[in-house]
Amino acid sequence: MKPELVLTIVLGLTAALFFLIGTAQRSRRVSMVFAGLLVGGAAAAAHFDAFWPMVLLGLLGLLTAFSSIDFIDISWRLRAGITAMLCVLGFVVMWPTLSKASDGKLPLPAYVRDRVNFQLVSGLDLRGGLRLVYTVDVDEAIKDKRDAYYEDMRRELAKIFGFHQGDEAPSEQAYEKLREKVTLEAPRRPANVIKVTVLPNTDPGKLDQRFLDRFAEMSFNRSEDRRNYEFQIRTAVETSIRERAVSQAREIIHRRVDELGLREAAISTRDEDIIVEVPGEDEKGFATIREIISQTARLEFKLLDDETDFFGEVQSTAKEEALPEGLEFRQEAVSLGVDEAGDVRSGRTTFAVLNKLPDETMQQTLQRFREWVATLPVPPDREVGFEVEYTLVDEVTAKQVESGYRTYLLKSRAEITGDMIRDAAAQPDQSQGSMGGWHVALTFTDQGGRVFERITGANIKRRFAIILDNKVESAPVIQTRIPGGHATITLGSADPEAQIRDARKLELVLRSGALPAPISPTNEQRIGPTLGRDAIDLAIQGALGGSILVLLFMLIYYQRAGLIADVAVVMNLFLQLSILAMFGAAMTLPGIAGLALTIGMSVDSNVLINERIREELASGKSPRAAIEIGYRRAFSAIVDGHFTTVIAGVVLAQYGSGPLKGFAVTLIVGVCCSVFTGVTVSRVMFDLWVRFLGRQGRLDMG
Amino acid sequence: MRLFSSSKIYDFMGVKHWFFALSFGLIAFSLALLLGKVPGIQPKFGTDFKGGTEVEVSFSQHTTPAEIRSAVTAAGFDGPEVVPVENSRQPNHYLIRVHEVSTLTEDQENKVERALCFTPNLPETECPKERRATEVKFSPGGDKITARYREAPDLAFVRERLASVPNVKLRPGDNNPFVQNARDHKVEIQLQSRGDQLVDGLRQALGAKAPEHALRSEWIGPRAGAQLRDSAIKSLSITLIFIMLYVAFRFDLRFAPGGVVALFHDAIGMVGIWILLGKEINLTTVAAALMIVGYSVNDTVVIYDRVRENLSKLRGASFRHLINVSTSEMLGRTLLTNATVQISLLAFFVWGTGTLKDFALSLTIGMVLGTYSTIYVALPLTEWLDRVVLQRVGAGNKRTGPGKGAPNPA
Repeated sequence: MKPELVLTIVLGLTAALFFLIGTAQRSRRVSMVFAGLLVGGAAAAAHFDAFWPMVLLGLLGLLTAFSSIDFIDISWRLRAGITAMLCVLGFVVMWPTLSKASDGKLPLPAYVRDRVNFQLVSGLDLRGGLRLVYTVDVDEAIKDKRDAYYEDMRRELAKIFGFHQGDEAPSEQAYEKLREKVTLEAPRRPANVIKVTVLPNTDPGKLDQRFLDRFAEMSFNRSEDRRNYEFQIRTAVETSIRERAVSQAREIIHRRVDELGLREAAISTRDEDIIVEVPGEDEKGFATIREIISQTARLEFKLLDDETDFFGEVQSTAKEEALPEGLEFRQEAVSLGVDEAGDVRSGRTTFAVLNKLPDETMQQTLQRFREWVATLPVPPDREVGFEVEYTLVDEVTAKQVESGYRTYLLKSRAEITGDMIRDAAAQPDQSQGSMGGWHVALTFTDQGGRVFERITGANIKRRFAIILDNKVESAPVIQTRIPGGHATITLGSADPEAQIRDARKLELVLRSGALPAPISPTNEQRIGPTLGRDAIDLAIQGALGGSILVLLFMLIYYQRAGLIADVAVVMNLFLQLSILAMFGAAMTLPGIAGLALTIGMSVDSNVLINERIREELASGKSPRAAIEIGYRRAFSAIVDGHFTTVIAGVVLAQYGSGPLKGFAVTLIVGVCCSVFTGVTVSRVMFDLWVRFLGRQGRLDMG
Repeated sequence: MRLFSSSKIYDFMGVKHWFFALSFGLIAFSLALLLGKVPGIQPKFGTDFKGGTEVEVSFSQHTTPAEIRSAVTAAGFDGPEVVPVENSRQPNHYLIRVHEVSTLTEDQENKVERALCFTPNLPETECPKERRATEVKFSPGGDKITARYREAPDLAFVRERLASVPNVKLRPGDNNPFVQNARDHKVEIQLQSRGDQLVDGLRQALGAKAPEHALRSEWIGPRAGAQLRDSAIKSLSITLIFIMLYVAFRFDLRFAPGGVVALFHDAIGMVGIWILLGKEINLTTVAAALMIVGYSVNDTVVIYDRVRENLSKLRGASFRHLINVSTSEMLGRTLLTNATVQISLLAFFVWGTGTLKDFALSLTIGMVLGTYSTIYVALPLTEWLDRVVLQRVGAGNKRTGPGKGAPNPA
């Protein structure tokens, strides 16, 4: 029988029992009926396989039922019930971890395994993990800088020749006129060079000293007739670009890994390499981390050039045998902006599609496509963008698969770049006619918002491309001018699961910022614990031995009251660990320091209370009064002591990084648990004890 | 069982001047130590903060991390980090990190630059134009030089020129120097370094199963750089302000400075003692210092609570007497709490090795400091402030009223 069914039946029967008691006993009718409803809800949740709602509803139902029993008073019953409920909850959360720690002696049913995903991860120092080495492709950063100089130089020349004024970017027409006077070339290799040629019809003296001084960060060689220049970025400048690229990449990787949770990865650099060490041993987690780290996340918005039917020309002139296998040309109707009367101009343009061959990966297809396009005579200031092409494989379910890539002809200049993005958020698509997919909403910076408004205003009814890491994500038509600094990126994939995943990843990488240059993995190793397995075994022995000694000491010193304190301390540790497991925190030595501190504080709370009760007993108070006053007096010290520690924890969690954060979270969680177990849990036991003592009894506190 | 009778009152404040001087000395000395101003004792920062040399080695037979650790320590390296690499093909594969590096002196660097024709204005006869390096970089570990050239470099020329530099030895092997990146003519030159010394030490101690050469040996950067240091300082300062505000609000303005001065005293004092003991400062030390901050505040506030309560109970008593009474009443609790935590750390001292033992030791130092500073830093400071405030007010009534939020005696 399936466990869902068993649970449904058991919970359903319990609910029925509660209802029965409720009808039979008038005095508890309200609470028993309410408990029955809650447990009935849990049974329904079990039937629909909603695990956590089932657990919570079931426990709340039992709590309600328990609080209606006629025992001590309602306040005690509630406190005891909540304590028991938290214990059960903590156990469910810790089940997978406990089962693993006991080497399977505690069985882990498949039903629980599939539904409880919490696992207490051991940190790098205790368990080891994955060591990844990435090399930063600093040449790409240098090329970027060169391209920035290229833009500056072009604008400066356009000004010198009088085609342009002001600080705004010059128009296409200005550059066209400039090309008749001077040509600039930014070759792919070497990536740090700009070649400038002054055409014969132009006075070479126009490139005066002022112009050359403006680009003093580049050295140049010039031909005798002063018509050919070769500018090269100076070595010192190049070195600083390299160093900055590496340190920035490190920062950004750090931020990304931090956003993934409290994993506490260790990140260091070595020349142009970045070394990332991530704790854990779960392959799925590693796959996510690899993907998140190595995504460059370079976002660009570029306008499309649909007027030039570049691929139409290629189609008519290219020889059949020169075309790569799987290539086809298609046509699409496009709108080409609005004319003076405000009517939409429409046209047709050709694009190329390269279909994936059966034994090829998508990456290889793209590589093949890029190689072929590199042989084509792409017009100046234009480039070809690639987008994943999907094919419908199932009419009914609308299931699509990636079948290849298609092209767009883009204007080379990136109108908007990733640094103009302030924030990104993954959101469900609620626009009309959508299939309930996900998109990523972008918020621009003030400057980015202005640029976006200007661009969209000037290019209504034209297309623009959103490009992520050199791949076109989408190429929508601009419908109106878009003010307000917001835009959305729709994700290509048709599978909703994949869409959510992609949207979340995109959100994370856009938020943490783009890497200044692409990075590529060069080495990957599984590493063992940095502390050494022998040391860890000893540490576990030590921790266990130490804890037992503490518990024994308390027991001897306070006798029965010591037992109560022991239970409270052990429960504190247990609750704390289960909350940390819920956060997915990694246990490291700093984390254990936090744990040790809160255990110490929890012992301290119990000592404070017990000493107070002793004092009150010594002054001749009855047990009940002594406990009452002892708790009330000790309470202010416990709360103040804990609260100041929480202050330290909150500040550290807010401003600290890496290991500081891990320590802080452990501390805050621990302190909250410690107050709860110190004040509430131990009191529940004391009250129970006093109840059994009777009127003449004596509190025996050693 | 009972350790202390709660009725006896000890005169803690009688000797406060001695301890006040001691604490002041401790803070001053610790600050000087931390800033490296004490001659003869320099703070030792571990690989976490400073970077160091990382060596990757593969042993031919079964070797335990403990064996490696002792072999590396015997070779004169301090506190090595031995990390096993889990690799099914090479089961005895390790990364060894030590914080020792072999830095080149400025003079040596100048000579290397000259040898690589990087120094400007060298005569054409010594350095033909096409053999001049355009960039020379030294790795911070002193184990590697990278140079860039405008055209394909002449490696034999480089080797020959470098051989003339005194005290700079190339690591043996045909593949050194080599062109690391042909695109921008980047040449990597590997030098004899601490890594080689480490491998030699391994061979001496472990014999034939240790490898001839390291698979890789190079400098690595720190894991916790300026970023961690800055965020630690920033959070500590903000914490101090907030705790001061909280104590001022819950207790009394007079209590606030004592608490934070005690906290500062403990954190700095622990680091100072740590340096004095010649121990290495690493991320574990930071964790221990943070724990001490937490403990110190907790301990101070618990005692403050009792003083606050006694303020209303013992009206008319002097502040000094009040502190003696409160501290004496809490003595049982203070010793008991300390004892329990110490018991739990005891096991680490007995069984722990290396990092763990150090960790337990730093916590012990911190606990002692935290307890001590409550009695002899926080309370005397509060008393002193009380006196200053009272004198300024010049009021006739000797005792001020109960602090804010003091519980009513039931």
